[in-house]
Amino acid sequence: MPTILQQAMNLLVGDQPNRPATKSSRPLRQFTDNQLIKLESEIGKTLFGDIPKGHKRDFFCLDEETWIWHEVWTDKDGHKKEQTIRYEIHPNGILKVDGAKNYNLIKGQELLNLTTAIRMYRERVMRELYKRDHRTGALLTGEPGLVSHHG
Amino acid sequence: MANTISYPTSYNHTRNLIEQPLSIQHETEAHTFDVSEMDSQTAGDNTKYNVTQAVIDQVQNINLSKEASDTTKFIVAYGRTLARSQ
Repeated sequence: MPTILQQAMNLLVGDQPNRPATKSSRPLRQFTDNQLIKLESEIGKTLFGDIPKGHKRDFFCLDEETWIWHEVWTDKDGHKKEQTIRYEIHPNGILKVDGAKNYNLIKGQELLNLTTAIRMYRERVMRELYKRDHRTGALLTGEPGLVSHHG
Repeated sequence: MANTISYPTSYNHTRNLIEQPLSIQHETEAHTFDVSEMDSQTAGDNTKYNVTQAVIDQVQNINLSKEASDTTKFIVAYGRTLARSQ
C-alpha cells in the first residue's frame, strides 16, 4: 500500500508510466485530515534539526488547541523507548501533559521554544504544503495542492 | 539551514527537545520590544509600580499562549480546512 507521500507524488507525476500523467489542480482535497497531519509532520519533525539515526520523530498540530510531540528510539541496551507529549493551549498558558499523571503549565525557555516552533511550523507548512501566505492565508500559486517532501 | 532550531550534540534523548536550552535561528517575524516607546520618566523606574518577576512571567505566558492559539487556529482554518474545501 503506497504511503501518504507516495500518494501525494502520484497525484503530481502520475503513478503508472504507461498512463499519461494527470495533475489535479486541487490534489490535497483527496486527503483526510489525518493524512494532511502526517504531511504537516514531515515538515514539523525537521524544525529541531537532524533526527538521529534510529529515531522516529513527529511534531504536529492535532487540532485548534493541541500539539503533539512524539519520538521513538532504541536505547543503548536495545530497549525500545517512546515518548508522547501533548501540549494543550489554554487562555492562561500552555499545559504540558506527559503520560497520565504529569501535567504542568510550561514557562520560561520551554515556552519560548514551543511558541517559536509553532511559529516556524505555520510559516513552513503554509508556504510549502498549502501554498498560502503564512500571514494572510492568500494563495501563493494557482495550484495550491502541490506537495513538497521534506525529511 | 535557515529556520532551524539547533540543539547541543550532547543532547540526551530521554528528554523532549522542546525542554532543552536551544539556539534558535529564526529569520522572519522577529518580535522585539521597543523601549523607546515607553515614557522616558517611567522607563527606568519600574520599582515604584512593584512589578514583580512573577507578574512579568505570567504576562509573558498569557501573551505567548494567545499567539500560539491564534497561530494554531490559523493553520487549521487557512491550511488544513481550506485545502480540503476549495
